Amino acid sequence: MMCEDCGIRPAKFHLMTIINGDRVERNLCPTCMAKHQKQIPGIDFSNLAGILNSILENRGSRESERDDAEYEALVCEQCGMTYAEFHKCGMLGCANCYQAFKTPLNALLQRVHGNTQHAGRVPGGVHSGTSIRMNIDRLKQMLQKAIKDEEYEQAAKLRDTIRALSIQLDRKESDIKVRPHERLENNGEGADDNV
Amino acid sequence: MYEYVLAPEQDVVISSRVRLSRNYEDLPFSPKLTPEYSEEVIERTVDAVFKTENGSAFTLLRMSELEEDARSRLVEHHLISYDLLKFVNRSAAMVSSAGTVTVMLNEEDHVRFQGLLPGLQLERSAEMALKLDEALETRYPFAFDHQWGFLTACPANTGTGMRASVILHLPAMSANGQMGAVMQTIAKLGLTIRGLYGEGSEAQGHLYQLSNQATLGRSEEDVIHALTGATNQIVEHERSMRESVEKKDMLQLQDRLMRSWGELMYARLMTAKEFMTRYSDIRYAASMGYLHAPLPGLDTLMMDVQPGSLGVRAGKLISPRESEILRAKILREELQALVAE
Repeated sequence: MMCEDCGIRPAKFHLMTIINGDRVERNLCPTCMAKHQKQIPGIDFSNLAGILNSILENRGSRESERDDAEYEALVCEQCGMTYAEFHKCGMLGCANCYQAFKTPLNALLQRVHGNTQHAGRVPGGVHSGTSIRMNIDRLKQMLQKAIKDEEYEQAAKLRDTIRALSIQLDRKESDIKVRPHERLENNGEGADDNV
Repeated sequence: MYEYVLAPEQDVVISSRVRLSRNYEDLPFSPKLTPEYSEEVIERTVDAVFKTENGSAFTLLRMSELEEDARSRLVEHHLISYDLLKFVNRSAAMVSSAGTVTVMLNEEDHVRFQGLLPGLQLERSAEMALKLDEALETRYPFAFDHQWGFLTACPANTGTGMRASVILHLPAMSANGQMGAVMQTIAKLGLTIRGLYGEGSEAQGHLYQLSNQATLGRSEEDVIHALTGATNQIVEHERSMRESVEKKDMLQLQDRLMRSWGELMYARLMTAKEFMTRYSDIRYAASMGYLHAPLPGLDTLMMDVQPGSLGVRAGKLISPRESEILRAKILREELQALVAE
């Protein structure tokens, strides 16, 4: 089971808190657990989580840890970060790490986000229908390639994303057509320091 | 008769914030960031931001050059994240004069753009952050991958790199023991809700933060849309709860809430924790029309009497007792002025 806070590290703690009389239960990794505990005034738990973590780390019996162990030796040629190092600190060393750790990262991103395909804006696109249209075009090309390579699972995912983006684009365009005066009003009001 | 302008849904939604995480594609990320590279991040960003249309409205604040109270004050006013202070030696922030746009530098990612507005205004907050993002990317490209989107130091932000959130004041729902159920429902929508202050044991001041969880696989518009929808539902629920409590016994509700006003008007020592309870009560009272105080003023005052902000105001290091005295004094004076407006 993954941590419900960061979604990156395996959960090793079960935290039960009472928030204004309601019981809230969460499964957390040692890092996020330490964050939560730090916020309980008067008690310093930060070390406790560390100690427990080192004990649990030695057991190394969790499934996801075993999976990750296969990749621990991977190294990013650009910044020198190893997958083991990333596993420990939860942060990547440079843009190239994403390529260097592609396989385990893809699995991790799927776990964290439930998805591995970006559906938002792309650089160079304007924050409007343009970026969505550019995305759709790009995804359509990827879809053709996936079909050609007989990667049908990937193709199905791409098709769903294209469909979702098309709906969004339609909504956006009808929005602009239907409410031009509202948009003008909104843009004009207030003295925000828009840049 | 007095009047003041309320932001959308401000009776329940205190503020809306959108943060975008970006990294320069040719520089190492946080764990491998040397002092030279972090300086390069600051130089590039400052240069690019100052060259934007309203660039002159920004002030650069290097965290290493600020006193501890001044840093805390920025966190308390939501201008920077608490995490920015983890990297005090290298981190900086560019803050716009109106305080609605901030650029954080050398936090977990090279650059984090933030748009912050009162009430429920997620779309406009996002537009503010995205506008800066677009202006900067033309000068120095950000790390981007066609499959994974914007590449961030922590994979939890990969994709849009966008965290959108609202701060909610939910006294009636909290009192009715409904927050547990709300938290369970919210999780199913890919959103997360937590206490804003005093996390771990209780949500002080009945303040909660609702934000998106995933950043990969959903567009910016989609996330903003979902979060706004969920917020609107919570707002409706909180309002109907407040109304039903009023309907049940208005006098008792007024009595309970207005006693907090009395405490604030006459107390000589006020702890931060007690203040949050009283603030929640008078904000609730003001939203119901029992107390004629402007909500935006109450919210600003709430941030102004947090520990760091008090220290900045005192202009020196103060003891816990001194800060309790100062907090009580500021509250007496400024609340009086707020109702007199």
